[in-house]
Amino acid sequence: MSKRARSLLPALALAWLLAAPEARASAPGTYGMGSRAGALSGAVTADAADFSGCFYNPAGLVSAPGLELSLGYVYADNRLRINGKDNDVADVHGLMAGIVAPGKILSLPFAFGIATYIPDDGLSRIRALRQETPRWELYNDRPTILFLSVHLAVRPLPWLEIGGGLAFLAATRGRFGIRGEADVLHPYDSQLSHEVDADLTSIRYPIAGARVKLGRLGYLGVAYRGQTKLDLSLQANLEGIVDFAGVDVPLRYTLETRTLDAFQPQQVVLGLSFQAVPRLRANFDLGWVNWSAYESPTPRTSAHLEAEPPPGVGVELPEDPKPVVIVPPAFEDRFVPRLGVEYVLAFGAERRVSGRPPAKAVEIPLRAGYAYERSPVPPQEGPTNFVDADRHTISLGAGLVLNAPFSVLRGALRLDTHVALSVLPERITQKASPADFVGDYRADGTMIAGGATLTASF
Amino acid sequence: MRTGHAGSFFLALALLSGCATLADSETGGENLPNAAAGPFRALRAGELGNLRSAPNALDDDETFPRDPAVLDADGDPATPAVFGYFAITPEVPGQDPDPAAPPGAIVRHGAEDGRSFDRAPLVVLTPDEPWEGGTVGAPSVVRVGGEVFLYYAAAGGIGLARSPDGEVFTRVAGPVLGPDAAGWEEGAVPRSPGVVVLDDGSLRLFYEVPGPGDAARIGEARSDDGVTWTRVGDGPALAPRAVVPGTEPPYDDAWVGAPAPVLVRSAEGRPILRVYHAARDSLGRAVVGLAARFDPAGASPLQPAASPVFGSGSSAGPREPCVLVRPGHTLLFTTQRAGRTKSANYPAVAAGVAPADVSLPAP
Repeated sequence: MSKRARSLLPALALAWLLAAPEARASAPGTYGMGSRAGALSGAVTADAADFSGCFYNPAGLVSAPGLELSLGYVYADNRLRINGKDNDVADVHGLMAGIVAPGKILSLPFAFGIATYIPDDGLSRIRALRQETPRWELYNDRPTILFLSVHLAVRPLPWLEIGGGLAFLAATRGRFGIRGEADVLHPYDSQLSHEVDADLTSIRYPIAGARVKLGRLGYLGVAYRGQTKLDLSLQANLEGIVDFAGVDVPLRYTLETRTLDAFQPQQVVLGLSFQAVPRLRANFDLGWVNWSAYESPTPRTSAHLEAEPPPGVGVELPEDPKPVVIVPPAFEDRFVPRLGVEYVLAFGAERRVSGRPPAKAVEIPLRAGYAYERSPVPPQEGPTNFVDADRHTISLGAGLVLNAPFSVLRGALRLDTHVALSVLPERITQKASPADFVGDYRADGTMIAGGATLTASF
Repeated sequence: MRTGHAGSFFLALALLSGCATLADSETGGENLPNAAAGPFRALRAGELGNLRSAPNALDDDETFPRDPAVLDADGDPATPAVFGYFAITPEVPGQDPDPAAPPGAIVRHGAEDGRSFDRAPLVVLTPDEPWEGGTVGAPSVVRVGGEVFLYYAAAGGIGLARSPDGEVFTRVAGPVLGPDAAGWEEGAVPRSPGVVVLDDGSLRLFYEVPGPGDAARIGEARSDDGVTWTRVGDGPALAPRAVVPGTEPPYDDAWVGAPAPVLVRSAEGRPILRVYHAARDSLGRAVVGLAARFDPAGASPLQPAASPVFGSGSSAGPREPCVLVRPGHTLLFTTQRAGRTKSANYPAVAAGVAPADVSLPAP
């Protein structure tokens, strides 16, 4: 990599950050970051040396063989049902891309990595629902928001790699006001002025990790992803005089609402990648997810209407909405095991490949994985209806690696594909109150995700 | 590497991602579970036929039909036709109609669509017996075997009339449930009956007990034949809830009455006895409430719903509800003020439906 290119990378990263004001989490956690990781069911904490390390474990970035550019696409078809009927939970689809740029500073190996997931049907989807409204809490909106993270990794010792960086969210604080005089019978004669004041404030959360080389056995990895959430606040004021057929009615309406959304719990993942057998990698991850810190997304809303109708005019003003007594979600911490196996078939003549030992001209990695995510949502016997079920994911994938295919590409050109089937076994909810407005229900579902990632390694 | 590689990459990505930044329309809200127990929304224009003006399924400013009781016409919930039984104040020649006068007859209207009642009332019961005190009202109708049982409130208690066809009724002598001076009712005259037939063929009667003071409570009785009734328990089945300091006052802390029981099954097949009822809070705000229990034949207490099912935030004063359970939705009929204007200050029968997002078939 040229010095000029190296110097441009931080500037490009900064430009990217400025151009993406609503960077959020996290489809990668649900459907995988990149097709290789997706095919291994995310069991790559000790084995992520490509852009997916920006999500799974940034320490591995420093093992990238050279400058890598990756571009991929993922599509997840969600078939989530309640009482046997599809709930039209949004499919998730978007671009995944990243750059890994390894180098050396004073003979210290380091790498810079940046990765993003950009949903292609919108950068975000935020909804504020009453806590009684049934919703697939973990799958409906949370995965459909933009993910962006930037990392640095170093190898201070030959057997130790350390990496870390930040992922970004944007919170919204907004206020708007309307003042003036409104003519009910002649709206175009109204004299109104409005003002809008909205702030998009960035929220950062850390992702960090380490990898230890276990001789010829492989790697041991550990990663930490911090807790984060979106805090959306809105304040509205309507103040003025309503002219109703010559009768002036002073009116003042205030509304305040605050919603927490896209909560991502902190998690720690311990990973082992067994690489003692040539061309075979067997990975095992065990993650701890701090779901018990989950905060209710129920909006806190207050509203008040004041009006002074003329004496004798029987106008019935609506009551202020009663404050909502928010039921704590009481999610439970969970351990999530993940398994992944990769075997590489190799063909053709041996070639010199930039950044790694000589390899056959063509390699075909075959991959499989399994993950089990026990639902953190407690039985919904009370007024809340956070619908969820356990999730079993089986994944398969294959790749095609062309080593040093062109003179300008002395690394490799790699195409990875994957498909993953998630099965959510039926979960029955029985309400404690016979007067519950939602009543009993059973929830189940399947998710089919697939994608491809093209990586050019220079 | 030349910097052009990275620049081209970012440019391509920006172009690809910039094509769409608006999210899809709302998703995840299809086919959500709903017990169809409430809250009910008032029927809208276009949802009522027979030239009825929504939400009023029945509105007459001369006889004031009110206190609805609805019976499936053929006993098959899959067919929409119903008969509605209502209390009215019969017209008296030479006198202005008085909406505050006690009801003097019970009439039947038909509704082919289950909600838009016809304009041909059939008088099925008028007060004849001395114990009725010149008034019959608050009907409740159920099918028992091959007969239609019509329970009604009168001055001396709750009466019963039986019919083979729902048109011609024959009285059972005397009230089937009169005052009980020995128990918690302290001799108050029971009124506003609501009857339901349980799976085992036995019947449950819920009724309003006035007092103490301006309050009212709901009592319960059981019967194997619908004629002979035995009171259940030594206290009310449902009473006004106490206000818990520091919490929002409940919607039924002053008055509960006019019960309308219905037997349903949850989506998991659990039998539920729902008792819809009129309720008032200490500020005098009237709503329709709901209380229920899982053991319909047992004596376990009725558990109130978290919020009213109809009339919240309205000054129409709903009372005397009844419900009709249909596949996928429930219809509510209730007495309330006919409209907001001064000339509409008389009782009419309004209709609502739950779930609120259901699309009713055309009338």
